[in-house]
Amino acid sequence: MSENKQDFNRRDFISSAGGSLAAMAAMMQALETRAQESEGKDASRRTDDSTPPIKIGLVGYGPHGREIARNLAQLPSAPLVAVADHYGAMQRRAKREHPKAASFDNFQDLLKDENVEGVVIATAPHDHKEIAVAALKAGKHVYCEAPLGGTVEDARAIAKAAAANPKVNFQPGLQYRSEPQRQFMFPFMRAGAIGKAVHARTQWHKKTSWRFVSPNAEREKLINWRLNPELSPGLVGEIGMHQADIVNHFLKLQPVAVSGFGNTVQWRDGRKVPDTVNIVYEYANDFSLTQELTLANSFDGEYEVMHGTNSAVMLRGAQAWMYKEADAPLIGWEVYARKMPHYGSPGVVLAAGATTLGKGGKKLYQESTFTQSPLFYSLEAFAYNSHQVRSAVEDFLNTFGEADAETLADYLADQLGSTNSLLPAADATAGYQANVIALKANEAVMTGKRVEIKPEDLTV
Amino acid sequence: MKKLLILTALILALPAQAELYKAKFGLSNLTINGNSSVHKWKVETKVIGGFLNVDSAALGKTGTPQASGTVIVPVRQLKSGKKRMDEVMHAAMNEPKHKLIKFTITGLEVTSVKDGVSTCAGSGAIEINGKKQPLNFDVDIANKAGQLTVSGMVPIKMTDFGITPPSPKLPTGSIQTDPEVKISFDWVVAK
Repeated sequence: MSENKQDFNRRDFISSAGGSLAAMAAMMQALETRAQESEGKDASRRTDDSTPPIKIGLVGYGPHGREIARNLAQLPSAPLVAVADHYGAMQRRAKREHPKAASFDNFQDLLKDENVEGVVIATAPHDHKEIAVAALKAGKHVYCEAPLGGTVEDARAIAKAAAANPKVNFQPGLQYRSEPQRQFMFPFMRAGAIGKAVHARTQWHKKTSWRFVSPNAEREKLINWRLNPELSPGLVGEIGMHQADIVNHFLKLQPVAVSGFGNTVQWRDGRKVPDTVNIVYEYANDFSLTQELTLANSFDGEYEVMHGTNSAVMLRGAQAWMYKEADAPLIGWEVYARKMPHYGSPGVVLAAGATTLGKGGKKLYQESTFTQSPLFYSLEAFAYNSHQVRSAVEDFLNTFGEADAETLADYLADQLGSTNSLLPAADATAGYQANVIALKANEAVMTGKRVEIKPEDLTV
Repeated sequence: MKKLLILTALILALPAQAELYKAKFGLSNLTINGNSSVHKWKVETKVIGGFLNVDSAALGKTGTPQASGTVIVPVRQLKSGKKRMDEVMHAAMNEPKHKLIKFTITGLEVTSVKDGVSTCAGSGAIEINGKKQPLNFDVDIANKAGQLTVSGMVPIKMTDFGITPPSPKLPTGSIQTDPEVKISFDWVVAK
């Protein structure tokens, strides 16, 4: 659904904008519209307090589950009403931190709770399939953290279950797909603003061990699944897949092969999952993507940069810049845009929710209002889109009666996907494809061999 | 033989039977066109349900066929392609309380027939925002392969249904929405 809605190419861009002046006007209008839409509500959100809520049940109250709960607490459209965790200490912590939420020691009981409308799955990837498939069958909307599964088979089973249950919304946790800055960049990138895509590079540097401690040896083994090569999708599966996915999504490309290698440079505690990896993806059109990820050094943090024959675009946190080549054609609007130097190159600021226009005495430059994390925006999209799916399905059933899954899916694609009724979010197919690409990359790192990615591998 | 003649006479004496036609998703569309102090606007939907009970054979000639029916349109499926505008419009139509636009057909008169299309004058009522108003309307009904396409346009005034025309605020002032709108439809029903 969302892929169709967002489909945009250079021809669309040129025909709709009609040249550089119109392109400039369109860009500025988009910027200003976003600023206007923010008036009268919390400007960091795209929904307001009147958005009908979807009551959330959270499965898994580990560090990431708690991060999800903190974000949900800022979203009136996604109240947390239940938490399930099989570990007693986590259950007690959830009760203490969310006393109004029901507490369960297993996800099955949470799924039986009729008060729960949407389920957020924050367990280890190898546990996702059982929970996600059961939740979809129980008629709950499902947000499943990425990667969907620890194996291709698990990811495929989840994506198939999502397709078989169109009455509920399914969203994989590819957070960048919902983040406003990247969403703002999407039509810009699809319009071919960087020229012919040459190469992209992503980086994630953070000095952290990835090891959790527990007084309970059995528990310690369980919570350190990231360090178990039998269960872990590695750094690329846990982190790199989000960055690779956004590059592939922006440029509408899929890799055909991947090579990589990894070493344990810093954390030599007996682990067999590398703490530093380098990956190269090959594409059929001579484009390439390299990724470097390390747990051994934090300098320069994380970013994605896409190089084209006309310019390079860098995305870093909630900011983006365009660095033009001297011989690149003038687009028009960039002359008026805010500039920020970067090692001698003037970077054109590309900011969602910001405007350079002065109107009615307002200041000429307004910083982006979208200051929350990608996880926040991803959860916001999940709650809002679940409400939209629920409403549309309700209306369909009241208007036409029951229908098969295919008819309902067509209806939803038409009624929601083509009418700009959803907040941007990845769908099950995107979640599956990103998952497969990441698992292939991890296989390349672990084996040191070049791994092919065939089109059929990416088909659910 | 006598019994057979009586039976035949009885069958011939029976009035023609109305048949039930039901709406299916994907075939129909409805558009509401309006104007404002800034620009023209429109919302549309393909979600048009309901049924039509009609003697389709009688539609093929001038006269007054048996006809009754109901058309339903879920308000929140009326979309402009702009999220904020949809929210404003749905709120103005009091959507949380009155979720459907209902249009009832109580009578049809076929005034002319040309190339398989019957031009009809109809009567009924339309209910929006929980307020019902009687309505006379003109429609064309095309009968093809067991499927009827009912096409027409109905002008209405929002204020007749207790709807205050939306007046969203902009930095440059408020937008004034014209209370008069035109509802155009191609409603497809099949046996």
